[in-house]
Amino acid sequence: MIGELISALVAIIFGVVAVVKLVGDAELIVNALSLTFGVTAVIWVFKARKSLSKGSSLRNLTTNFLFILIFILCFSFWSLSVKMLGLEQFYGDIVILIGYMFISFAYITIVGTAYKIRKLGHEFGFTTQSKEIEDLIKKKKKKK
Amino acid sequence: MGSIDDFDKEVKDLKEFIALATVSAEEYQKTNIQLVKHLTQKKNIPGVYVTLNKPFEVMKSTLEKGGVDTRMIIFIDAVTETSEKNVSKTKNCLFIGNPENLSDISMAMDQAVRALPGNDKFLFFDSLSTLLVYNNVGTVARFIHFLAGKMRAWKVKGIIISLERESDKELIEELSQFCDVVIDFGGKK
Repeated sequence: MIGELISALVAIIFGVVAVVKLVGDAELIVNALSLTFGVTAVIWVFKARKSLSKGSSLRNLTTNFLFILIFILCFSFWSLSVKMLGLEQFYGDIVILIGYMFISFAYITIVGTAYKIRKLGHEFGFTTQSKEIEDLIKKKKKKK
Repeated sequence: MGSIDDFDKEVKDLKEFIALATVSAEEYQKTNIQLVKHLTQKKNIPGVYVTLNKPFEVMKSTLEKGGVDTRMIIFIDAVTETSEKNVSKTKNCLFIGNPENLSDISMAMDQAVRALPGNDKFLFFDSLSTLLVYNNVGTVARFIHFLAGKMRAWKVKGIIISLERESDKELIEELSQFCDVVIDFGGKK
């Protein structure tokens, strides 16, 4: 718990420092803050994943979520780098396309994860059985 | 050595409880059937049966032969997939990978218990001894502590079955502090 708080605090401090340094440019500030939150989220998810049983559905979902976060983080990091280093001036539209590539990967992983969640809902859902048991109990009570 | 009547007396005044039932290998099957039958037939309570020991089909037919109405039970089977891959969910059973997969077992129990109708429900965990075959003692102790906390949150009648063996004695003693009742259904040492 303390470790998590410290890592969160460090991430926030880095974010704030970045904001102070880059103040005046809204896009840069948003990117820097997103990066800070993204790093914190990745650390937390990574720790959670480590404590879950190998091969479990929950761990698989966590892995997918970790990939989504990493792709989004890559996008934020890339956007920040492009803005700070002015890469667009040197390399043209290709740098924008690379950013879109990260976001596209994130969306593809989101779709995959959503499908897994759908399957999980079907697998772990007991609503039908619950209704049947309820009817059975009512029948038994009536008989008595 | 206790009987179902002794068990009933012990838990009579408790609406929710966590019972650790120790049993000899010889009496294991008979005791399981009697306990589940007592809860489903006599008390008319629906419940969740977590089997780590025998596959769902075997467990279901054993219980049915013993006169248990298995329609009152949602099964969680953490053994079938250890030998058969790609087993899909059946009407009243969810198959979990193996007894090492404690995260999925916990998630399945949570979903199944919460899905059960009414306020009175039970959770039958069969068995602690099998869990020890797949996991180390520390992990099992932590899992049972977690399970005991969950059982209280779910407000269920929880029964954890364990074979009474010399090797598990220390663990059982340690776990008894989390439980309301410890009943010996005839342990051979």
